[in-house]
Amino acid sequence: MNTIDNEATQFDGNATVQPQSASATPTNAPTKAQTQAKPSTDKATIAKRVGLGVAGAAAGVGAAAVISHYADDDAPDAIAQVDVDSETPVEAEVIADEAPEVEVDVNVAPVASDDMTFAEAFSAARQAQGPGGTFEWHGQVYGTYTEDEWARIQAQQAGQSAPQGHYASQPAQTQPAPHAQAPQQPQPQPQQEVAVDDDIHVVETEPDTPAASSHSPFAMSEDSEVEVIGVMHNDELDTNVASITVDGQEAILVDIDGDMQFDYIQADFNGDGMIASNEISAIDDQGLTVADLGGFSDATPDLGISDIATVDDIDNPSDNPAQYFDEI
Amino acid sequence: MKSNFFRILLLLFVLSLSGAAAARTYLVAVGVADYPGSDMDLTLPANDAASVVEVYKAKQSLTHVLLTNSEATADRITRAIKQVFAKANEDDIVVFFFSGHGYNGGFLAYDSRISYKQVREAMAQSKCRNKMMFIDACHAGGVREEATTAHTNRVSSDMRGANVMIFLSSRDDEYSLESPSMSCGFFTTYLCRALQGSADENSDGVVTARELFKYVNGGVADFSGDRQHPVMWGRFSNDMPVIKLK
Repeated sequence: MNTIDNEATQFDGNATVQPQSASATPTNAPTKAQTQAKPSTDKATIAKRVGLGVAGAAAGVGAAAVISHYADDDAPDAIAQVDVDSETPVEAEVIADEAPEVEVDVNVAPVASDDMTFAEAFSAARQAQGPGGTFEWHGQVYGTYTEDEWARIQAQQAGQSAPQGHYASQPAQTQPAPHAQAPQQPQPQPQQEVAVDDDIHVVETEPDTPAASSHSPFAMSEDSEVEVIGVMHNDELDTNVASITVDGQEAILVDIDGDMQFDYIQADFNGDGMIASNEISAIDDQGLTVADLGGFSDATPDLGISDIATVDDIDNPSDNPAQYFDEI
Repeated sequence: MKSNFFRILLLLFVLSLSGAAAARTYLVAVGVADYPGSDMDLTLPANDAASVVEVYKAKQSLTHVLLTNSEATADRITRAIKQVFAKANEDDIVVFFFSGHGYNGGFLAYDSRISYKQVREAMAQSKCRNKMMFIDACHAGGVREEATTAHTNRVSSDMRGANVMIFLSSRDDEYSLESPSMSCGFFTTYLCRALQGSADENSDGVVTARELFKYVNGGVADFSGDRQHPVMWGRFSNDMPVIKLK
């Protein structure tokens, strides 16, 4: 591994390029130092924001709102996801077509008008009524919940263990529920809120990692495929090393003191190319020996081991680079 | 022997669930485009922050806070850093991302200035040993100048101290560029591409600090016509993993 020169920036690009004067004004592209126009509403930008807005919690830039779509006083039969920032509502996806189960007392906010853009009308209504209100715009009645709020309400109504976080001010069962439709839009990842301060919205998500399930202990059984790649002895260090795979997961057994009994087992479970302290475990009390693995390999196999990490190496890396400041 | 063998391997895989497989990324992403009034408004920083969140969500077990525009007050930013990063364990990764106006020594939150010193002090409270800061703002390179002036030649007494990587969108005498035709600023555009895998030069499924810099610096310098040069510095190994792709 490389170390860092304590006196110089580690990476600074092309050092031969003369740095620009701080007063130079780029000619081809606007800069953050200049006044910029408000975000555009072209389709590409809108599409991007609809995609980004799934994670948004507030009806602000990039947020997508779940709006119930009424026909006059009829019960809603569908929910369309719209982009709050668009000039006109974009019915990107019809999410559900169930009739509501709760009678609603629609209180239409007077502040929204047809003269406004949809985004303005939504913001005005939400500001006046908060989440759970409704407003009429161009002959249709819309609600003011955001998608996140609606998902939480549904979770509460379904009796699920509701995660802590920011909810509508009133319990869902006492709120007029013109949004009684279940938004069936599939979430890309399961989300859970972790409450910190009330005004900080913390979200926990998990990626789609099907490979992780292969490491479940429940997936391992007597039928698991175990392969001993090889066992070798290092004359110089007087250590013994074995390479094995279990259902494809590579692991290394290490006999550090040369007594023919393995002392450690290690595996790069997270695939980051390093063995962390929680990826190595002492097994000297298990009595697993070289003989148990069939003895030493006849020929010296390529075990793919370029370095045997010991506990000391992990705790005190020898290539600790120079440090610039110690406040972090 | 076989039952003993399996018992050992079962122990190993149990360890994998309790430790290695549980590493998380803790992200505080801040983007301010809509400053009070209109004279200072930008176009893309809120998108920048949201885009970075999406990239990490797709790849990592993630705990995040996204603060944009009026949400991104100085007080809320520092509280978010302290409270979110306090949840991280030593082997997790904490990332602070900011996009918006900058000045030599800090950047502009929605309501006031916030110095890099304040951010560093907030991050220092976390026990996590892998800390990263991505700043997409004008004069971002000033954070290095401030730090080295105060701390040159000081070496932490804690040899097990944190890996700290700071990636800045431009040198301290350069502007950070954006274009209304793009969805993100130059730096954030290449940063997101890099984190999505474009920077994985050796295709090993891990983007390292060196790979990240090479890709982003090269891309931004080319795209800006050599007017913007991202800078990376700190205390870390060139092979430090920034993000795992699979």
